[in-house]
Amino acid sequence: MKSGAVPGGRWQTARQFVQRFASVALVILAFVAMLVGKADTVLVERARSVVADLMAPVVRALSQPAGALSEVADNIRDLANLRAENARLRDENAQLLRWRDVARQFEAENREFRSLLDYRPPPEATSFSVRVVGDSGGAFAHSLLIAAGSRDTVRKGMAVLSGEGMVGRVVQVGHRASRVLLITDINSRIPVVLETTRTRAILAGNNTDKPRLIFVPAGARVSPGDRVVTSGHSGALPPGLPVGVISSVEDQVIRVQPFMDRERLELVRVVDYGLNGILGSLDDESRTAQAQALKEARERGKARRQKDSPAPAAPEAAQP
Amino acid sequence: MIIEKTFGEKLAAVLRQILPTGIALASAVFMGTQTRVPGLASVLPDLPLIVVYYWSVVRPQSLGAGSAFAIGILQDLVTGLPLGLSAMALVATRIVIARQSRFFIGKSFWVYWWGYAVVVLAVGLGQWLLALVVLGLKAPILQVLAAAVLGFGVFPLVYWLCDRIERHVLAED
Repeated sequence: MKSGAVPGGRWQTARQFVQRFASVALVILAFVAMLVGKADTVLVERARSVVADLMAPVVRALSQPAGALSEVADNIRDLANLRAENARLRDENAQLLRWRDVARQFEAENREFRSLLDYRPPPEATSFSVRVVGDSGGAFAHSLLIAAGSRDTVRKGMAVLSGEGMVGRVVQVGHRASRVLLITDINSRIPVVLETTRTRAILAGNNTDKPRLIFVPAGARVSPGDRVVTSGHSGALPPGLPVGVISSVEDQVIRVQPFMDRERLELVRVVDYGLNGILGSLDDESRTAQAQALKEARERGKARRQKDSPAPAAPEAAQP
Repeated sequence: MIIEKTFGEKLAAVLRQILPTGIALASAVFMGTQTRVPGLASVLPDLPLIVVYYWSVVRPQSLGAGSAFAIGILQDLVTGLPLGLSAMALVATRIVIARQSRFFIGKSFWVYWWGYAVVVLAVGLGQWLLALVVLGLKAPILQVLAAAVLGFGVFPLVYWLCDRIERHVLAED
């Protein structure tokens, strides 16, 4: 009897030991998970893709009531603003008709110039519309879950647009669902240019609704209301995609109001510009874009300093 | 006299046992949904935190630290948050609150509510600090605080739902 009680006692002690230290072990495990996640290993990415695939239908089903409620609220708001909206649209329509005539004229001229220059246009973009099924992240991340994955030819790095402008880029691809990193996310870096002045900069997300412009050349004129479009540098995105508009310029901090409306995103367009192979990973691309902007800023500064500094005096011995 | 339980009774008992974890898992998946409310996505209250806090106070044995860890990892994967951030918050909450569960015995709802206020603030600031130090991610502190305030605001609703379930479904245990 006595010999039979010893293993039971050991088991009890071991169990108490495990229970006592399991909590500490779980805290350490969570910390390790953070470090592994930071390393962005293939394993973590695969886990995220698998969970996205599995959860996309559930998240979509759960989002539907919120969507229906939002639709009702939108309808009520639209009805209240019907008259004002009608007048605004009439004005806008008249303005757009004038722009259409100008655009047609430019199109004809462009066609003629291109034929004269033997211009080779970039490859045609292919795109398809996808439903947004999830929007999450809170203060620590800004991302979307879309209902299309590798089976729908979605690939990492593809641009995602809404009717208004740039939404973000695909960062994880599952079989049936993918995750889109929004341009407002703290990890997002997009090479942009101010449409009117052609000033180059990097749009850096900061997990707020208004990302910042960084690496703006010294002395560049930036004013609220200036339109921001993709520059096409780094080869990840084509130039000219509308991104947003400068909302404020205060103490060297330039904020951009994106054109996309995160809360109203139901359908987005995933666009393949045929720029394959250039984008190894988001981080590589961001680093390349930042390095390029930094290099250019340094070169401009160097040139300016050389221009500003007085010419060196000639050696006395050379004077007659 | 030993009364043999039927299969249905055994199944119901198992379901009752896993119900708290199930509710917390559902709330973690819910965090990934699209709310369509302007500005809410950035300051969405942490619902799994409320659920884990509730069960840690009311029935610590029904939701273990291992379950809290799994729920946190699922939340991170579904919402695209840095891996481990929610897991750390939920595990820490479970451990600390379960150890203080004697303090909560027989206390009113108001004590639970103010207890949660301390937890949500500590978790928010802790997550912000962890993200900054470990991940080099400087999240907007005002949004973190706004999410904590909203969490404090929705606590009574989640508490009421969990309390109904506890009284009507789990009380038999």
